[in-house]
Amino acid sequence: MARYLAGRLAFCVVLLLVISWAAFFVMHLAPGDPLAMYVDPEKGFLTPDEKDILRHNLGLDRPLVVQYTYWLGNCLQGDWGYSLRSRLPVMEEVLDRLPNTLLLSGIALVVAVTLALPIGTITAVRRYGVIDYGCTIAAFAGISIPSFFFAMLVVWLFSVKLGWLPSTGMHSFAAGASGAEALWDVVRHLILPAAVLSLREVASWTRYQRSSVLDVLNQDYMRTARAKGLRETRLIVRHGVRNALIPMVTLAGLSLPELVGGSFVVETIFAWPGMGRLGVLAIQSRDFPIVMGVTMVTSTVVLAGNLLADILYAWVDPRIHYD
Amino acid sequence: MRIGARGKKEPSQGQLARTWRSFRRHKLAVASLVFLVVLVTIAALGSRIMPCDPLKIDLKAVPGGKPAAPGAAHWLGTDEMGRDVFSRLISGARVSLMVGLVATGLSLVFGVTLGAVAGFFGGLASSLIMRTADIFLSLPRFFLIMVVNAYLTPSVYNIMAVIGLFSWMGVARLVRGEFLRLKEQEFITATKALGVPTGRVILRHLLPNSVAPIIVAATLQIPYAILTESSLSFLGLGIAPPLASWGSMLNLAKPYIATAWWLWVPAGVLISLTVFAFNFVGDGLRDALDPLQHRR
Repeated sequence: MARYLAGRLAFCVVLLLVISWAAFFVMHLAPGDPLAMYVDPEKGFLTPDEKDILRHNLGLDRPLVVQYTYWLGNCLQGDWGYSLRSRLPVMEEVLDRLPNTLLLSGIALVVAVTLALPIGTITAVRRYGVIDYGCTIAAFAGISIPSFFFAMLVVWLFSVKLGWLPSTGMHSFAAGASGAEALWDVVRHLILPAAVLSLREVASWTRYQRSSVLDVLNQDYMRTARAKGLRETRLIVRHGVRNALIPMVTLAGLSLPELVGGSFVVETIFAWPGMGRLGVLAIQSRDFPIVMGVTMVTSTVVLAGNLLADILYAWVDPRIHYD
Repeated sequence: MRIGARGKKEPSQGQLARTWRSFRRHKLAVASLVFLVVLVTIAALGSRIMPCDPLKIDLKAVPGGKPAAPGAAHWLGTDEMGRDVFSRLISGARVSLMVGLVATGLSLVFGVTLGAVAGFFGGLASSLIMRTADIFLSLPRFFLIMVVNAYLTPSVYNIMAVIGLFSWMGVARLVRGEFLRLKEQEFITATKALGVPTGRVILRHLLPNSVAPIIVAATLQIPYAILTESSLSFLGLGIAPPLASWGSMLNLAKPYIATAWWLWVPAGVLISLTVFAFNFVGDGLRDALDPLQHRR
């Protein structure tokens, strides 16, 4: 196990290097001159000579490989550069928002699991029944509605028409600073984005849980358990669901990229102050250092999630050994 | 559809008819197929059936810059610049369907080629290709598509290429699996014994026998591509204005959620229905083409 882990970790590091190099390369291929952002406050422009000096001072005249090496060296020492827009350190900008993203994705994940597992199990047990049919159509609708359209619908209903929930941000100005009140304020802001973010996950996981339970129901040990006179509910919960959960663990890891991808759209719509919104804004305004920072942190989170899923997989299923 | 090797009976008619019979039982899939056929026809006719030019700005139609409500002149109203929403929806349908189909076509080309090489030759090529597929699958795909796309010259073609480049992995895995399974079967052993050239074995014997799962995978890939394109356009990082895509129409409609439903509800419903229909057709095809079901 230790050797397997070491290998996987090494692989993740190599992968992060490849991603950073690819992202760096793509962004430098892009049309546009980074010096366009610099102007002389008095003249309003820079002469070609001044530009050359500036280019040299900033290291922009060196080969791309050299520039990348500098970036990587600084990055490893904790210097991720400065945002072109806010002039704040990239590390501060990104890491400040990471907890908000993790909070939103985490809640969405919990909602998805608590809804999808029971629904998936019931639809499998009552296969081809009315519930199964209804849930199948609902699940298809759930994976087909784009998150941004669903977001606009819930904003229209709950914020505009009913006025129950806020549609943007994480805190309201009017909210008190005291513990319980502030917490309730955040919760109210969380409900809509978390619901939108989890919709797709609930829908697809319901389908997977259904087929996973169906697989298990046909196993020999289920027949044995039934033959020895186990009650149906107990049979399904103790023997069926427990075994059906094993593939779901991997699925949770595999759907992490999707969840992270979804958070970019959802955070942008709801102006949730997370890393996804930061990333989208940075891409829109060509804020290269921030884009690099978000790319690296997002990739790390996703890779770590995958690794965690594999470890959990070995833990929940004693039949699996990594060597 | 061809089944089996040369010399074997080719029940192409029978297979197709059986698939169709099986598919027809799936009522929602049939309804979805009808919807898609209508949509594709409308998109193909394009400007010939658009009531107005989707790009024509008509400020006289929108006094005070307020989007005009649906009426006789504009069936689904206009946006704040007086552009006809109905015509823009048709033009958006063209973009969405084209991106969906071409991006899927590209991912099929990459996926089938790489999967075939990995499945047929095995060894180093296989592990290299499959590890690369694993890597692509574990990446934050949407974000990377967003980044790459934002830094390329904005165009419909780049969006198709980037989406295709990031979505070949499923097909590659599938084709490799099919090839590995088929390689064990007697008719492929027979081709070896007869000395059939490698290229011919792959193109004439292995690929045609893997067509069913590839078709299903492709049908389910299209809605993914459409959703990706519309999400990108919704974030303002996809189809560039003034060209209309369903996603960008929703993006522009954000300030009018409360006041002008015709700017965002029709476009959103169309994306949802299209994706829903492709998913259902794919599901119906899977049921119809599933060889296990025929045996029952």
